[in-house]
Parts: sequence; C-alpha cells; structure tokens
Amino acid sequence: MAQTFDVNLDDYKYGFSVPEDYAFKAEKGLNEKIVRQISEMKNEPGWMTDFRLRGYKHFLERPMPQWGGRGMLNEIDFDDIYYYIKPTGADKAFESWDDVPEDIKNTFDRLGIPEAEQKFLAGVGAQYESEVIYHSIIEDLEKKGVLFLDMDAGLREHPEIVKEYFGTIIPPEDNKFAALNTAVWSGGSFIYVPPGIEVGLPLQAYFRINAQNMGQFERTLIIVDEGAYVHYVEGCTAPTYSTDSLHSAVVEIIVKENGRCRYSTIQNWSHNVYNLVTKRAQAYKNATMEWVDGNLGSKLTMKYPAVWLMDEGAHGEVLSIAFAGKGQIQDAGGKIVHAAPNTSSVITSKSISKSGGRGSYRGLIKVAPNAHHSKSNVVCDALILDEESASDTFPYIEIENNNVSIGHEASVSKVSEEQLFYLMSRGIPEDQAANMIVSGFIEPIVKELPMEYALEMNRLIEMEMEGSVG
Amino acid sequence: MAHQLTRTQSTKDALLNAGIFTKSDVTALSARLNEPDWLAQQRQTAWTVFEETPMPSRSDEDWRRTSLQKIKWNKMQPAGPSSVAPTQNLADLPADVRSAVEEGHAAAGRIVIANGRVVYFELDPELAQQGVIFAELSTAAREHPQLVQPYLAAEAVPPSNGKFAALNAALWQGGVFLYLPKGVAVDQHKPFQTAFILEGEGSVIVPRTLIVAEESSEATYIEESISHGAHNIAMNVGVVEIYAQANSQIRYVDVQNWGEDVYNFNVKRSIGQADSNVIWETGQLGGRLTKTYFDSVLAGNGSNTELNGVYFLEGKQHLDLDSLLHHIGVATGGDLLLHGAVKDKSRSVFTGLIKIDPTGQQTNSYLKNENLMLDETARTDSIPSLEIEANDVRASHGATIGQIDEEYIFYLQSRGIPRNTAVRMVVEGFFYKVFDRMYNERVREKLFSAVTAKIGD
Repeated sequence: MAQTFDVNLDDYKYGFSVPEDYAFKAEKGLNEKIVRQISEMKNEPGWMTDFRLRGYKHFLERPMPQWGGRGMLNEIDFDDIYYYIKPTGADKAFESWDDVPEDIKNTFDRLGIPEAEQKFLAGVGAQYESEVIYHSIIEDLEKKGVLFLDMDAGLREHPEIVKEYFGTIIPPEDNKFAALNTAVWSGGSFIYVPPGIEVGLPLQAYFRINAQNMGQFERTLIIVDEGAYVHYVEGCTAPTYSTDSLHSAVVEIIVKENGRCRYSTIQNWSHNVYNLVTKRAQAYKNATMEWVDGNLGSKLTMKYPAVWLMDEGAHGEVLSIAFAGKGQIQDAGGKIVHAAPNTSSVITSKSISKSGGRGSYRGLIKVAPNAHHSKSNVVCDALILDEESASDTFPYIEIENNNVSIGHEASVSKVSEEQLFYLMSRGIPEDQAANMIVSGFIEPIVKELPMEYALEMNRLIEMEMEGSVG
Repeated sequence: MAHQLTRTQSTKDALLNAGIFTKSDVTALSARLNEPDWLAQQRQTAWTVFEETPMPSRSDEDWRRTSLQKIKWNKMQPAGPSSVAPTQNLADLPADVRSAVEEGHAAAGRIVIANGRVVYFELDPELAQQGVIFAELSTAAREHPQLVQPYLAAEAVPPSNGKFAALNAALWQGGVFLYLPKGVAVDQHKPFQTAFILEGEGSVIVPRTLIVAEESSEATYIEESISHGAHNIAMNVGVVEIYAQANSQIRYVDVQNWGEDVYNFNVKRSIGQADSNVIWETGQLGGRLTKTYFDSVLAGNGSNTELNGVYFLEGKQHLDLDSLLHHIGVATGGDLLLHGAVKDKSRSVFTGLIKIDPTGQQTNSYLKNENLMLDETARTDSIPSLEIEANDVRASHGATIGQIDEEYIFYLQSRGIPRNTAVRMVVEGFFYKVFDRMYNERVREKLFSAVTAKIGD
C-alpha cells in the first residue's frame, strides 16, 4: 500500500505581522520617476542613478523567462508592487539594541534574534523593510578593518570600493530580475574583509518583509580579500499575506587569492512570496566559495547560486536543499563555470516534494576550453512523499576541454518501505520513523549549517513531518 | 501590415524558401505512386503543417545547441536515380551494400532502397505465409490500407511532431513497412534488414519506417544507412514509427553510417502497450550534422524499453541526440546506456529525459551517458533530465565526461603494447560496456566493427 505523508507546511511558523508605520512609501508600480526618486532619497552619486536607469531600461526590454515556474511568473503584476518603502526611524542606523523601536523589537523578539546575537553573532544587520535599521559590529572586527554595513551605508562611506565592484559580477543585463534589482535595490549587506583576516563568527543579517505587496530588492556585495575568510548567513522570514510579494535580490561576491567565503541561506518566505534571486561569486587563485542554500518557503523560488572559477586552484561548492509543499515550486540548483585550469567543484542537491509541491533541480557545469584538469561532481537526490507531488532534474553539462573529469548522478525515490519496516520492527513509531528517514536524507546539508540554523531546520522538518503517516 | 509579417516569417524559413520541395511535388508524388486518397490527403495536410511550422531555431530548447544557420539548403534537391540498378540477385549489389544487409547470414527479409527506390527485395516465404508483411511502405499502403492507415503518421510521429517530421509525412518515399501478425515470433538470428543508400551531389532522401507488432509477436529489425561517394552536401530526413502491441518485442537496430557531408534529421518513436518491450540499439558514426530523437512512450502497464547506443565523432561532426523515456503506464521500465567518444573538433550533445506521469507508479527508470574526450578541441554537452510526477518510483540518471586514463595506457605500455594500440584498446573497452548489453551477437559484431573501423589507429 502506498504511504501518504500528510506533511503540513502551510501552518506558517512565522506568520505574524505588526502594524505598518512608514516614513516614506513610494507609489505602487514602477517608472523612471520612481527609479530617480529612490536614488535621490538616498542621496546617491550620479553613476549609481545612471546604473539604476540602465537596469530599469533592460528590465523593460527583457522578456519574461519562459522556463522554470513560467506559469507563476506570468502572474506577477509589476504594477501592483511598492518598489521602495522607508520605515520611520530608519534615517539613522542604531548603534545599540536599546535604540530600536519597540514594535520592531517585538518582531525580532519573536524571531529570537537578540538571543542568537548573544550566543553566536559577530554583528547583526537586521533588515526591516528596505532599510537596514539596526546594525552592530563587535569591536575587534572593526579594529581589524572588517567592514560590515548595509549596502546604502557602504555606498555612502566607501564609494570607491562599491564603484569598483558593484555590478561587475552580475551586470544589469544579466537577467530580467537582476535588471529589476539594479533599478530599485535598497538595503542588503556590504562586507569587506581585508587581506589575511579570518572572521571567526558568522556574520548574520535577518531580512523581513512586512508591508503588503512590498517588493524587497536587497543588494549584497561581499569582498573577501587575499587569504581572508568570512561566513555570511542570510535568513529570510516573512509574515503571511494574502496578496503576492516579490523578493528579488542580487548577491555579488569576490573571493581573492587564497580567500574563502561561505554564504548560507535558509529561505523561509511565506507561501505567497515570489523569490527570484541572482547570486554569483567569482573565486580567484586557490580561493574557495561555498553556497549553502536551503529553500523551504515562498510560492515560487528560482535561484541558482553560481561560482565562476576564475583562476587556477579555485574551488566552488553548492549545497542545495529544497522542500516543496502545497502550491510551491522550488526551482533551485547551482551553476559552476570552470574558467581556469585545475579548478574543482561539487554540487550536492537534495529535494523533497509533498502535498502537490514541485521540487526542481536546475544546474549547469561548464568547462571552458582552457580549463584543463578541471574536476566536477554533481549529485542530486529527490524524495517524493506522495502521489500529488513532482520532482524534476535538469542538469546542463557543457564541456569544451578534454582533460577533465566530470560526473553527474541523480536519483528520485520515495521513502523506502523497507527502511520504514526496519525502523518499525525496532519499535520506532511509524511517523517518527518517516521523520528519521527524511532527516537522514537531508543530513549531509544540514550538518553544514551553523548550529542555530541546523536546529531550526531540523525543527521545521520535524514539524512538517508530524502526523504525516496515515 | 499582415502581408509584411507573413513575408518576414517566410523569409526566415530557409528550408521552405530553398524550394527543395514544393507543394506540387507532393501532388505529383501521390499521383506517380498511384496512392489511395487518404494517403494523398495525409501528405497534403502534412505539407501545410510543414509550411506553417516555423524553422527550429536556437531559441527552441531542443535546438539550443544545434544551429541550422549555416546549412546551404539551396544546394540541395530531391535525389535523382541511383547508379545501383534494381536486381533480383543479392550478388549484383555493391560490396558495401551486401555487407550492410549481411550477405551469407540468415535473414527474415531484406530491402535495399537507393535514393528512395527499391533496388533489391527478399522475404522468407514461410514468414509471408504466416502473414508477415515486409514491403516498401507505399506499396503496403496500397495493398494493406487497413493495416497501414491506422498507424502511419498517427499517434507515434504525426506531422505536428515538428518541422522535419512534417516534411517527412508530406514527402516520404522509399519507406519500409514491417507487420508482425499476432503470435508470430521471428528468431532473433533471422533479422529483417534494410539498407538505405544515399547517392549524388546535393541529394535529399526522405525515408520512413513503420513497424507494427501485433500481440505477442517478436522480431529484430536492422537498418543501415550508407553513402555512395562524396556528396559535397546531402540530406536525410527520416521517420521511424514503432507500434508494439501487448506482450510484443521489437528490437530496432540502427547503424548510422552516412558520409561526413550529410545533414541528418530523424524522429524515431515507439509506443509500447502492456508488457511490450522495445529495444533500440544504435551506432551513430557518420553525418556532418545529426539531430535524432529516440523517444519511447510506455503507454501500457508493464511495458519496457531499453536503449543501447554508441557514438564516435571526428573532424567537424556534430551529433545531437535527444531521448525521451515517457512512463505513462503502471510498473513500466526504462533503461538507457549511451557511450560516446569525440575527437578533433567534433561536438556531441545528448539530452535525455525520463518523464514519469502521475499514472506511472512503480516505474523503474535509469539513464546513463558516458563520454570520452579524445582531443581538447572537441566539445561535449550532456543534459540528463528528470520530470517526475508520481511518488512510488525509482528513477535515476548519470552522466560522466572524462578522458583516457593515462594509468591504463601506462600499464598496457609496460606490458609491451605500443601506445597507439593501447589507446585503441582502452577506447574499445569503453564502448564494450554498451556492446555487452546487446544480446544479439550479430548486432554486437556489426556495431563493434563499425566503431572500430572508425577508431582507426
């Protein structure tokens, strides 16, 4: 008898909202005036205004992608979205927790941020709407010269660094949503780690979407200088609303010689959010870039963190996990471009589909003609928990050099009845056994997450598996 | 305005505009072959579909990696008469043709078609007695319309399948029809053999094969394609339809050995009913540019399909294989293994999709593509995909791309084997993993000798 797993992803854990209170809210929809207005409000230099307009122009010209969650993409009403909202009190960044307004604090309390900060965090950049409003950096990091600012402050205080790198990894013309982000970006993180500096604790920012029909377009730029190391953690939670929200971020990362960067995400948007994100890193000589990408929430996610291996010895990794529940499409994966000799990469993807959800792995391994002695391995596993759910695997492998070793494997299966039977024969109740199997399935990725995230991930999976065996 | 739009659209259709074929060719062909009305009508409809279907372009996902831009369509014309004269005697045929249809071995039947016209035919009289039909397709359509009409250009490869399928449905000529009555199992050591010969500069041939296997029938069918002389440019636009009824088994073997100046477009598709088994075996060796689909639709419960394939490309050859294992019935099985090697500036593209419908519970499907890159100027793309909408399934795929392992070469050289021979042995060994799965030793030998001839030194 086929087992059905009634996993309930719809009881949205962080589904709450606080009353809206904004200093400035642009009108709905997008036009050149709004783009200029955003730039003006932020007192940006002229080159950034031009850059935004370049993005806006391309956004208009570029057709909607006709793959991935095509049906859902065509439903987005770009005229029904606020492209810029500035909360009250956001004009100045808060130096200490006490200065943060009470209602915002409440939100954070419910997310458990201060506690997390005490325990683990080197600095907190908490993003409430489009503006980073709370920010703290532990003193010794400041002394080491590590910059950890919101992107707007980064542009104000370090324009020369921002100008050098901004939009160089992901140009405005990269894709429709990167173009949109370029036009209306607000917030996000700016991180610079000087040569030889290892940031021991993960840097972390929490993003929140709170206003109805609110688009969130944060822009993150991370520069890891020679021999430096940083782990950046991005987590997303959003209150549940009935109309759709759009989240379209751009993350650009440069890892210089011998540097290492790890970027971890747990994406847990409410189930009405379109999450269309472009993330790309360039890794130079002997540098390592790792993306750890967990996708649990959103209505439609299309996100393929990429690593360009630019120089000899560079290494790229993508660990991707996706949980597609009722009404959800998780179109996730990773891209690695081997652009230099002796480079290596690994993509590991695990996806779980249930209650009619669709989990898709979409990936690319490309080896350029000069990239001899490149090695790449891709493993994708998918678990389908019931009859209504679906899973896809679309790996693209393009090889233009003969001296390479490339492997790809994928498998799709259901929770094995033999495994269930075995566990039950050892006295473990059925639902718990199913939970154990699912936990075991995603374990290789969960163990790469920082501890509080791993705990949260395990809790979420457990919660979703509760009472799932009928 | 509307007029202008139509013009823009038609100017883009380089194939149609080259005027290799026209609507009046379709009418003339039906008249010359004295075809029944339904067939003449079918060709006309297909021509309209051909005219209306846009030329594939790189913005189509299927054609992203294969460009038709540089093909000089206007250098092509329908193939004229071949220099191979019709004969009743196998010994009269040229040596390469005799070898293609395996002179001296047992065969259930043989058809040799040169530039779209039958030049040699034989069928085991005993099988004919049992109701087996093995004939030129147009003749069969006249003589056995009740067996041809329900299947020809119907469910498996209708004109709507695509530009080239539509062209074929309108203008096929010199096709093959194989019909196996209920319960007739033809020994696998007596295959049906077809050779297609393409000859002449700029020649275009449009062959079509229709295989209908009734309940519990069984046969092996081998098709070999050969070029006579250099063409400068030539084209083959082929279609194969296989209808495997309940509990039948069809082994379809395809030795693609076109000259290296041939543009080669094929759609090969099978529909398997309950507990049927369709086995595709292919060696893709020739052709300047090939785009071929091998699609298996597993419609009936317990139906099964297997594909064992090899390719070896050199020079500027471009091969784009597209394979679909479509699981619709309950407890269907798919198993695909494709090994290829690329040399010089050649390029291979493989797209393989395992598609499991919500109805396809208990599917077990596997797909693997391994590639050996023999030169750094060669290029290989491999895209094995899964689209799965049922939960109680096992589906997996794999793709590898690598080069000859120097350790093997070193070992063989240390045993006194010259480097060239060592490389050859390793390449042969790589292909042998596929040949090992070919149960019919004659098919295995045929493909193996075709591949080794190409590996050369």
